[in-house]
Amino acid sequence: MNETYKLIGGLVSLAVMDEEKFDTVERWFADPEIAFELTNTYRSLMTKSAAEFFGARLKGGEHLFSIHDTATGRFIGMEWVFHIDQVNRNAAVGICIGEKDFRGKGYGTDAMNLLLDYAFNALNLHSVHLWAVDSNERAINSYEKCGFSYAGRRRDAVTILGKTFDFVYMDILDREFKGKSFLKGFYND
Amino acid sequence: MKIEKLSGKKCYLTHLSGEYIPLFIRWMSDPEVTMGLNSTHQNIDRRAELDFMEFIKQNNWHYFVIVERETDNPIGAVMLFDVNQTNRTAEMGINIGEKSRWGKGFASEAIGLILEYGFGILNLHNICLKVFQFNKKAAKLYIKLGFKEMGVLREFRLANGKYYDFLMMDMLSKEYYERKYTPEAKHE
Repeated sequence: MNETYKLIGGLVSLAVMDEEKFDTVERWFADPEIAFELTNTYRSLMTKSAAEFFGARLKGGEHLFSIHDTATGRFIGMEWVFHIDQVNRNAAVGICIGEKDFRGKGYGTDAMNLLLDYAFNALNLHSVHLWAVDSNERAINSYEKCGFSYAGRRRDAVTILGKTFDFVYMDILDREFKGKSFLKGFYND
Repeated sequence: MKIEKLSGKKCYLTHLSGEYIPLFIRWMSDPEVTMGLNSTHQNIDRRAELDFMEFIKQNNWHYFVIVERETDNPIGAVMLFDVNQTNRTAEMGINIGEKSRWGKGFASEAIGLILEYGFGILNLHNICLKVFQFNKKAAKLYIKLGFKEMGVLREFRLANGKYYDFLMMDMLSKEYYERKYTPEAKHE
């Protein structure tokens, strides 16, 4: 596959999200398991196509990347930086590994590490945060591995099939980013 | 006389209208007012206000202007945004733009009205808010009104070379009604 990568990591590499890939994203989000993890994003996608939803985010200045298996180039997920506040140097991030064969093997952690590299070393942010459904332990463990720490809990924030779940908030500061930096390799100081 | 959508003793809430734009521009031009809103770096003119009014319509914000009962003058705004009827959640925000009305209990009453609206009319389950660490009076008021601290986004705001945390709080409908129907609460 001839993908042009923007950030190259070990297991995964990131390319700037291309609108042509939204059809695949649509397929991922039709999976109820993925839909539950994404909660509100999914609900927006009930009435809007992925192209419409994420296309508007792209136009609105958010930074969307497609995640690829470095070995084969296969498109396995997407992630994005949003709610960017350059004045106060903070933003939120989101990630989805849509191809389930690639879950639980470190691909997501590697992809988040690249996104943090981009957020801290390209966007010069100071603080990055995210939130997850508290039952999604796999995701929360992965975020902890990247250096995120627990920031808070919103009670009963989401209702799924009659059951309520909390949202867990996590944050990471630039000085807490301990992952390997792809971008820093280009500066010899 | 303005249309009274939600009635309190000292103030009432009315709907948003273009007639308040010059007033909003005055409030939004005052750094002391915008400090807590994180909008000091935005230049709010008539066009920006019109865009904002369109934005809140598109995004289903429930936005009310706070009017002082004694004078019928608008003194601020209180709102619910990110209203999610499926999960029954929303976020609350308030701004008393008229500085001469600070510290007189208007915010407290206006928040009471928007909570009554959110929990009682919109049937929400969880209402949250966020406040900057340096805005100590506001944070104290939210706790007094029954909000519970739910977390802290560290070093979220940069001002005068210093980082400040963003405090997050929330309230569940059952907590709201427990307080409301407690005999002591009525004497507050």
